[in-house]
Amino acid sequence: MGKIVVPFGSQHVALPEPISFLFDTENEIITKVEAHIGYVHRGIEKAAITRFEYNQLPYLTARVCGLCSITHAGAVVHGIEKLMDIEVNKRIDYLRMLVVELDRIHSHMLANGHVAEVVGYENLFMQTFRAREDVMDVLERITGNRVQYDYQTIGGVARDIDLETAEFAKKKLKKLKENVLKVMEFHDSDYTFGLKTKGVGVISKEMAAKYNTAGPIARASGLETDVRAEFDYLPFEEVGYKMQTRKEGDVWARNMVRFDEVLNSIEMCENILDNLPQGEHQVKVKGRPKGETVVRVEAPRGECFYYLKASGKKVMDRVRIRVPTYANIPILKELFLGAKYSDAQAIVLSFDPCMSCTAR
Amino acid sequence: MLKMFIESLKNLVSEPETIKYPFEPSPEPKGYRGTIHYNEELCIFCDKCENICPPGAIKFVVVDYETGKKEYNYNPYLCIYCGACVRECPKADEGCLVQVETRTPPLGRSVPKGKELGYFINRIDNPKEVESKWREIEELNIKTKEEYKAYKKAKRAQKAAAKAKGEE
Amino acid sequence: MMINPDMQIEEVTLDNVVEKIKDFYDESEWNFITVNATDLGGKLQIDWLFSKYGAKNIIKIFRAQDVSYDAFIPSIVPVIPSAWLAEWELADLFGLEVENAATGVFIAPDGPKAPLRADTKL
Repeated sequence: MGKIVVPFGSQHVALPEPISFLFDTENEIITKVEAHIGYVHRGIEKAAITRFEYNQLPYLTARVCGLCSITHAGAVVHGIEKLMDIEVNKRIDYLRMLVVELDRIHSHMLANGHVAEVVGYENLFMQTFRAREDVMDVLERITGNRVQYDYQTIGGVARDIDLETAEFAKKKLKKLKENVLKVMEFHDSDYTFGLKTKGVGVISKEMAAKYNTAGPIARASGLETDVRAEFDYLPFEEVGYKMQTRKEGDVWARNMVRFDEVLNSIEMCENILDNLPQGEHQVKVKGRPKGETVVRVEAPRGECFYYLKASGKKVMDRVRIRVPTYANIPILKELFLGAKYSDAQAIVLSFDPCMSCTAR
Repeated sequence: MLKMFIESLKNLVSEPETIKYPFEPSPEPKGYRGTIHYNEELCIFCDKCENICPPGAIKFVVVDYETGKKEYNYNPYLCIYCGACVRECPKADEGCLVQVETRTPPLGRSVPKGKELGYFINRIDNPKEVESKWREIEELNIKTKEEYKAYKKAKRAQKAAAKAKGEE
Repeated sequence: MMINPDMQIEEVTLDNVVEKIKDFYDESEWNFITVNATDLGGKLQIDWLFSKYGAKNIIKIFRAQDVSYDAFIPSIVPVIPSAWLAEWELADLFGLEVENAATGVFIAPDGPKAPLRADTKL
């Protein structure tokens, strides 16, 4: 049979966000891929250096993406604090760490649920999302909103956490842990789920290093890279951070790495809530940002990189955002070659792609 | 698979996780970031909230150049409810700008009213006009500020001239 | 906690950057982050950024200064196969001529040209 071109996206039932692939297929096997990623380009980098002042940037970059709004706001806040020479206290660090880890939990649960959905296991998808709801409640209670958290501000966090909220969070996290273990068991041992995910879209460790893969995708292949261990921005080691890796490198392993990280994050959140240091939730801020710096933070999907340059004016000179999905697109493209078209959906979703981050 | 089957059967008898929203109310959780309320009597017109507001949903318009009186205009349908204005406000502790825990009702057939929402929304009756009227406010904001600046400058020059004349 | 990146900047020119990166890059040791351009008012500064696996805070930067808008940017894809996306972005958002780059990936064909240049008013 001859060559057939199959479009995948930009609107597709399996895709949560607009990305388009054009697959050249022979029988079922994909032989050539063309990717288009710019559907949701909003010019945020341009807006950040023209329309918005430095103290409005955390609110702007939080809107790069709905799922990792905490990551983007956090990254820009760390960078601007470096440029303004602001040292924050321990309590602020811990509160920031708390929301960062809660964010990771809900993003990972969403990704795992989506994978279950596209391999045709609607029921597991529902169960995963049901468990996820608890962490959304905790985040809503702590920050005051369900999606747009706007929690990190320059020189602190938007609001302090009171005893009642801490108790509420602890109770919810306990329930969440039980639910996660239950759902993880289904992902781990379910026969039909395994048929669609084990051995599909395998990335070897060498391949992961060659294509500079980031985040859970790299760690599922055994490549030990995690910005939380490679860049000092928050004291993760103090609250029990451990790097999670798996060796298989397939869709299933990527899901399991995410579950391992969810469990690790729950443990970290509990430690943070038990050992919150005393102090103010805001420090005094003076001056304007000057100089250049790079910021690396670990978003749920992998390394999020910021380059910031300022020259003492209200508006920054350059804000460069490089997000984890951006780093993972080259390997995604390689991975399709030789794969079956029917597996393409599971492969894409196992990468947890975020196109609004990538296109910015 | 059997485990999942049992789990699914349990769902038939367990409590629902969702609420039937349009038929039942969906209350705001504790600490919800809702509408921004303003108290004109406490305001010192420092414009800090206007300057920080990321979407530009707070605009002051100078209405009287003689006394320098400003009017607070707030567009709750442009607001992103981040609360930056409240954190910036020097009189927030006394209640000048407060973020309450109730949502702004969605823009339907009517426009919400109330003194605490500022001048803008109280002067509009047709919800379809919110966008066009806000554009006018934005233009007025820039125009009146420039004119007020020029007025003050002219007045200072007048004063200086009068003073110089007096010294002669 | 204030971040404290250890930025090791090495000045390069567009002629020798591919060679320098080829000598330096070891895929099991360094993680290629991205290529970044900064507009400094008519002149560009182009950075190739790397981070080290397993080490703390180390960022290696190859920096080409004073690059003009009509310069030809060589591609490092033969050394780092995942670099194409970042290079294509330079072509789209800065309107630069990049080796083997396709355009129209990041912005729509009817979108503004070279939006991130300082003199592009939107």
